[in-house]
Amino acid sequence: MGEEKNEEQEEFKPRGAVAFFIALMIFFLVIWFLLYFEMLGR
Amino acid sequence: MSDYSFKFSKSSKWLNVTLLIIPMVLLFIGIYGGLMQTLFRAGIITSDPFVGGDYYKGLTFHGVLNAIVFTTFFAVVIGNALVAYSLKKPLNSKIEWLSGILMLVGSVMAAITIFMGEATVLYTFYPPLKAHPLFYVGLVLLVVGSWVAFFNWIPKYLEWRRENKGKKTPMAVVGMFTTFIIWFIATLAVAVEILFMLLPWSLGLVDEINVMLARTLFWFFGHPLVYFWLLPAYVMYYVFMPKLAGGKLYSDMAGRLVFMMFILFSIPVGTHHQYMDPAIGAQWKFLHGIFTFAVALPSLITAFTLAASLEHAGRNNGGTGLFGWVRKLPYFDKEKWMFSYLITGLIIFILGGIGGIINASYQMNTVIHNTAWVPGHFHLTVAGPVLLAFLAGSLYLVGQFMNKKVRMKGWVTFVPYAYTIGLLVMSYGLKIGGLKGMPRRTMTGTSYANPDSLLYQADWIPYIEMSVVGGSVMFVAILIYIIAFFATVFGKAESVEEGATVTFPISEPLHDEEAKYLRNFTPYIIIAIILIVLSYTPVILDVLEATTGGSLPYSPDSPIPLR
Repeated sequence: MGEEKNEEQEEFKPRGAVAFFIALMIFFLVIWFLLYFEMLGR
Repeated sequence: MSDYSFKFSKSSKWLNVTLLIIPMVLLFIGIYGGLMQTLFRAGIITSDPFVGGDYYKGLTFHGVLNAIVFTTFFAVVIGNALVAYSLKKPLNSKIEWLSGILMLVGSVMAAITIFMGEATVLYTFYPPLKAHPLFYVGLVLLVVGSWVAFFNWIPKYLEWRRENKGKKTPMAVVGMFTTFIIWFIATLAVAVEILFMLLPWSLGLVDEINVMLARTLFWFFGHPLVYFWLLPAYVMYYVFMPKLAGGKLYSDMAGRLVFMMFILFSIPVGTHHQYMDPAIGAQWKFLHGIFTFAVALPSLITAFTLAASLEHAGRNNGGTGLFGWVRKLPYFDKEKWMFSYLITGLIIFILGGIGGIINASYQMNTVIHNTAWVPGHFHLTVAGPVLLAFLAGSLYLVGQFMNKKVRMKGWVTFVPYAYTIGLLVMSYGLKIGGLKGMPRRTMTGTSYANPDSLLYQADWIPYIEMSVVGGSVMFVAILIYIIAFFATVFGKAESVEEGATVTFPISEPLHDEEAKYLRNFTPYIIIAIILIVLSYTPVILDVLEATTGGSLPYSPDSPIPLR
C-alpha cells in the first residue's frame, strides 16, 4: 500500500495546475493594470 | 462517499435541522429582497409590493438576512456536524440548543424590527443611522449564540487531543476552528461598538455617538466577517471537493498552512474599507493595505492546491494532456450534485479575487469607492462561492440529518450553472456601471435612472437593465433550489430512526506531509493578537485624537491640520 502511494505521488505532476496558475496570474495582472490605467486616465 | 458514518442523537438532529430550515426561509425572504433591489434601482417599483417600505428597508433586510443571519447559522450547523463527526465525539446537546435558541431569538428580533421599519440601517448599521434597541440586542444574541456553539466544540477538541497525542487534527476541524477563532476575535470589536456605543445611544441614555470610532470598530469586525463567510466554503473545497471529483487533496500541508495564514492576516486589515475616511493616518491605511495583500496569499495557495487536486481527479477519470483533465470532472453528474455548486463557486471566485485585490490597492480604491462596483464585487464573493457552497451544504446536511434522499437532483445540479450565469450578468452590470460612476446604496430608480429627473444618466441604463436581467435569473435559480430543498425536507424518510446517521465525502491527501509547525493553533493566535495590537493601536489613537477635544487647528497656508 505504502509503495503504491509513493508511486502515485511520484507519477503525478500537476503540470495542468501549474499552467492554470500562471494563466490566473496573467489574468489578474491584466485586470489590475486595466483598472490602474483607468485611474491614471482620470 | 466515506464509509464512516457518525450517529447524532435525536436532540442534536432536530436542533441542527431547525437551524437549517428556519434560516433557509429567512434566506429566501432576503433573496426576494435582492430581486426587489434590482427593480427599485431600475425604477420599475418605488415601494415593495409584498413587504412594503422603500429601497433602503429592502436593502437592509436583503443584507442582514442573507449576509449575516443565514451565513452565521450555516457556519454553526456545519461546525456542529463536522466537529462531532471528525472527532467521533457527540457534542453536548443542551449547549447546542442554548446556542440555537439564542441565535433564533436574536435573528427574529432583528428581522421584526427591520420589517417594522424601525431598523433601516443597512447591514453595516453605521451611525448616525439609528435602529430600534431590539435590533442591536437581536444581533448581540445571534453573535453570542454562535460563540456558545464554538465553546461547545472546544472541550471535545481538547479531549480528542489528549486521547490522540501525535496525530494530526482532522482538516475539517482545523478549518472550522479557524473560522470561529477569527469570528470570536473579530466580534469582540463589534460587541464593544454595540454594547457601549449603539445600544446606549439607541436607548436614549447618551445624546451623541463617535461616528468614526463606531465605523472603525465595525470594520475591525467587518472584513474578518468576509473570512467567516468564506472559510466554511474553504472547508468544503479542501475536505469534500477532491473526493467528489474522484481524486485526492494534492497537499494536506497546503490546506493547514492556508487556514493558519487566515488566523494571522484576517483581522489587521479592516482599515482598507476606510481609505476614504478622515481621522486615520495614511501610513496606517497603507499598513492595513499591505496586510490585505498578505491575506490574498492563502487564497492563491488554495487556487493552486485545488487546481492540482482537480487535475489529479481528472487524470484518474481518464483525462490526458495539459488541460484534458478539465473535461473529465463530474460537472453534470446528478449523484455528485454538490460538485456543481463547488466548481461554479470557484470559477466565480477567480473574478471575486481580482476584484478584492483592486479594492485593497490604496489609490485605486478611489476609482471604485462607493460605486456600484462594490456590490458587484461582493456578489462575486459572498453571493458567489460562499452562497453556492452554503446552499450545497444546507441541502446535503438536511438530507443527512433527516435521513432523506435529495429530491429533484437534476434540477439541483442545474441550479448553480443558471445562478452563475445570472450572477455574472448582474455583477458585470454593477461593476461596469460603477466604473462609469453609478453609486451604490442609492435609489437610482427615482434619480439617475429616471428620465424625468435632472440627474438622469442615459449611459448607465444598459448596466442597470443588465442587473435586472441577471438578478431575475439568479432569483429563478434560487426558487428552484428552495423547491428542491423543501421537497427533500417533506419527502419520505429512507428509514425511521430516532437520531441521525451522518456521513461526509472526506478526501484523502495525496501528499500527507508531517506539517509539525501547523498542528497547534496557539502560536498563530498569539502572533495574530500581536499583529492586531500593532496595526490597530495607532488607528484607534488617531481616531480618538481626531474626534475628541474639538477640531484640529489649521494654518491658512496649508490644508493639512497642525498636529
